Amino acid sequence: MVCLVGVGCSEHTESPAAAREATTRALAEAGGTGEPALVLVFHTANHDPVRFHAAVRAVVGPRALLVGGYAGGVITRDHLGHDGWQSAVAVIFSTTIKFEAFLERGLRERGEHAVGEALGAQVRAAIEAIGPGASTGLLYMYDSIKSHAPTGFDLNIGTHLIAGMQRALGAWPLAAGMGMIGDIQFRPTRQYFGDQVVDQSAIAVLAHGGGVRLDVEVLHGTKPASDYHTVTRAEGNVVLELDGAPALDVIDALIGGERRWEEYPMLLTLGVNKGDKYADYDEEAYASRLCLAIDRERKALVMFEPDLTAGTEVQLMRRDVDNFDYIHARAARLGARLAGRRPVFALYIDCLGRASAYCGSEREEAAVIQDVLGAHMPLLGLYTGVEIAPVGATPQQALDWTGVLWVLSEPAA
Amino acid sequence: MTDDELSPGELLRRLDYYRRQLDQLAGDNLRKDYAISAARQDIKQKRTGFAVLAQLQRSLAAGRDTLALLDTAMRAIHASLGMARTLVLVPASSALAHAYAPVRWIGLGDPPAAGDDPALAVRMAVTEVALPDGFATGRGWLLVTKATPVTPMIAAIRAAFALPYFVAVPVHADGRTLGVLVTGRLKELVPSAHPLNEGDVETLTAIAGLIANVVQNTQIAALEDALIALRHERQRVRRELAAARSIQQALLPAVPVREAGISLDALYQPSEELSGDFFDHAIVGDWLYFYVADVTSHGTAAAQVTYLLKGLFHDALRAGAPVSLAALLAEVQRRYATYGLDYDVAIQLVRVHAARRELDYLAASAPPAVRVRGGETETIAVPPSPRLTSHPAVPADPARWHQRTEALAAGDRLYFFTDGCYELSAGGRPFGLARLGRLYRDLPDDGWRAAALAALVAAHGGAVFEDDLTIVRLSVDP
Repeated sequence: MVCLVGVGCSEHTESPAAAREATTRALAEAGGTGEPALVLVFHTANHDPVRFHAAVRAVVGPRALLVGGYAGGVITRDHLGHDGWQSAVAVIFSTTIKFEAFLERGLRERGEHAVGEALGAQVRAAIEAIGPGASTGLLYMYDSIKSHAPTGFDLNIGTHLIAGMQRALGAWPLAAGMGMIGDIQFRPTRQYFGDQVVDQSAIAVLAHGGGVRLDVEVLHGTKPASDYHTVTRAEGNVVLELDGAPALDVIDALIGGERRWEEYPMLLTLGVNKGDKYADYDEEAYASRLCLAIDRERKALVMFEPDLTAGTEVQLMRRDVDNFDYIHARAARLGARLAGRRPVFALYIDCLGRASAYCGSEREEAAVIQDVLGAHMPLLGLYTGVEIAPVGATPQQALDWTGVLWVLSEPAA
Repeated sequence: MTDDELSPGELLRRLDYYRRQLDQLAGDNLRKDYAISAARQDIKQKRTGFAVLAQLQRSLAAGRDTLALLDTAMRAIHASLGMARTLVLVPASSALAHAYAPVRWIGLGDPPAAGDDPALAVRMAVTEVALPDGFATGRGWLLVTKATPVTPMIAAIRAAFALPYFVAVPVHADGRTLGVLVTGRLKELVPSAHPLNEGDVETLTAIAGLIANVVQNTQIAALEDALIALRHERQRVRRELAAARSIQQALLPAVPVREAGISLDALYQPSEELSGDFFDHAIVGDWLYFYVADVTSHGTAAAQVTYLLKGLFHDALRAGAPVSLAALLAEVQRRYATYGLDYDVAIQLVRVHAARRELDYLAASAPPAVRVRGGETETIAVPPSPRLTSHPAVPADPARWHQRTEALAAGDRLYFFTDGCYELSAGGRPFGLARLGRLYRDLPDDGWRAAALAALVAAHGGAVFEDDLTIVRLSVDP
């Protein structure tokens, strides 16, 4: 049996009605019979998660593997939106491709590394049970919001989670991941695992069997614009000094002008070149790092991830917000790789900061994804806080202001 | 000079120069990028505002109740403007000055509940906040950002809804505040969650104005519906009155009546569709009986009484000519009293013996008849008699009514009429009996009705009279 996939969405403001609408649309598009093998459910933080989950479950049946949770917005073939009442459901029917899901809770209490390590151990055990050499694909997602209060919020760090998973897994299957957020206000996230509505968790879905293959493309849309500057002091995800001077002073000297420090968060992007330092620009060699906040007292930059350690050389990155040629180029490369295979489902993990409302682009870059992929395969896109994908030689890298395209394919009949 | 020819020091200086130039260019480019982004975001904010307005314009249909309108607006604002919490407040009846209470909300609670969280509902049910005085008159608004000085009022609102940054605007229509839209964010974060600004206030104010318009349109539509219903009812009543008028007209006797050198004619002019005046005649033996009745009040009820009187007189005369007019009226009184109606009847009752040229006349609380003889006008005085009444205590004794017998002469014209004919307003004063007498004197034999009405209309200044007019003329051939 070929894999049948359908994606439905809804902007209904009543959670049960939205769930029913999105799910029935997905089922209609898939045209499968019985219960789906996998149901991916995502919606914004405006919805009531318990009622939404219950309504989806009522439609898909009691046994379907159900995974998902909050997203800042959704993208389908013909719809995209964020920060409203968006919801989307993807259903996958297959008798040959198998899906297994794993849950580890306690990101806040146990820490990202421990949770990642435990999750990685579950995935490794499953891979070992499948047997060596079997094709697999991994999707994982974690709650990005460690704590949220009127006075501020704290994030779970994807880099630590990845390190924990790395420790347990040893060798990674081809994988992509995301840090989940429900809106740009960083309100507490809720996640779905089977019949549980959870938080502070990391969830992994492993696809295997049926000749399944996962292909991943990373879309940055940023280019280096400055000389290299060296991080000379950092604490966790806080960059305290660049080139031996307070980080904010250095940035201010470069781009300050009339810009207030308060405007740097979500705008200022630093890039780390993991390839040849003086070679021509290679998008795949770069990891973008987005400024999350500023620490005025310490004149420091608070980044999403903690990997800008002392000694790391960074460049100011310029966002290519009006030229989406790089998306077409990546899509073409993906298409070439998929030659001879049947793509069954595309998942687009897209930084919410890339939405036009936040980056100031004239057009939605996700609309280009709709154009180039929508005609060829069911598409589910999610606006996220952190995107995770292979970068250069790094098997898994937490990324900011990035789009990660995750395509599931099976052998052509 | 090529790079190879440069000294190491020169090369380093050159490298440093290019590095500085590169960073300066990077700074310039990024500044411009950020400026463009900011400008586009401003434009997007406006576009979003207009889109919300357009969406609401389509969805806020007149006829829905105000709370439903506010709820729809709240959801649109919340979904479209990227807000974390949005509420609808309504004026509260509490001791707190300018107090408002939440009735609808989105985004409150953890996870956010859309209004159906019982615990949250209980908490909101006892929550009230004070807003500035201007909210009561529709002129106030609140914009609270990180830069806003925190007053006790702002601190209270923040605490009540756990909403640090917000905009609040009143929805004001018909001189009262229908509700207050409050929406806001938990954080200020450029560019994802810009500090709220005047643009957000303008958007919410425009939405509030739209809701107010819809509410007013709803009220106007309701008034129009009521007016249409009233118009239909009025048309129905008019149709019924027209039918009743034609019935009343049909019950009037055909005039003129000629009987052995005597002729009877009448002018009948109701002030409304139906009249409380009535006249009728009957020939019983050698006598021509007729009467002019004026029921107290006029209109529909009075008209019903005239129908009753017609029947009563005919019934009383069915047994034959009575001994006297007083006996006839006593019999009518007896029968009328059995109905217990609250309407009295002034009446002039007349019978004429044509052969004998003789007339019996009785005026029961009615104006005296006027005779025109030889170009002179004369009032036919008659002892006063009581009007017909339904009061059961009034005896139906013929002795209470007094008639007079008059001899008729050739060429006599006698006019019997109701009080509306001389009490009508003419130039700010009653037309008067004397003037009416002169009018009778000057009336032509032919076309006297048209002439009389024209004169009265001219004196009154219009054809709409305060009271019904009835004139019955008895003419004796020359």
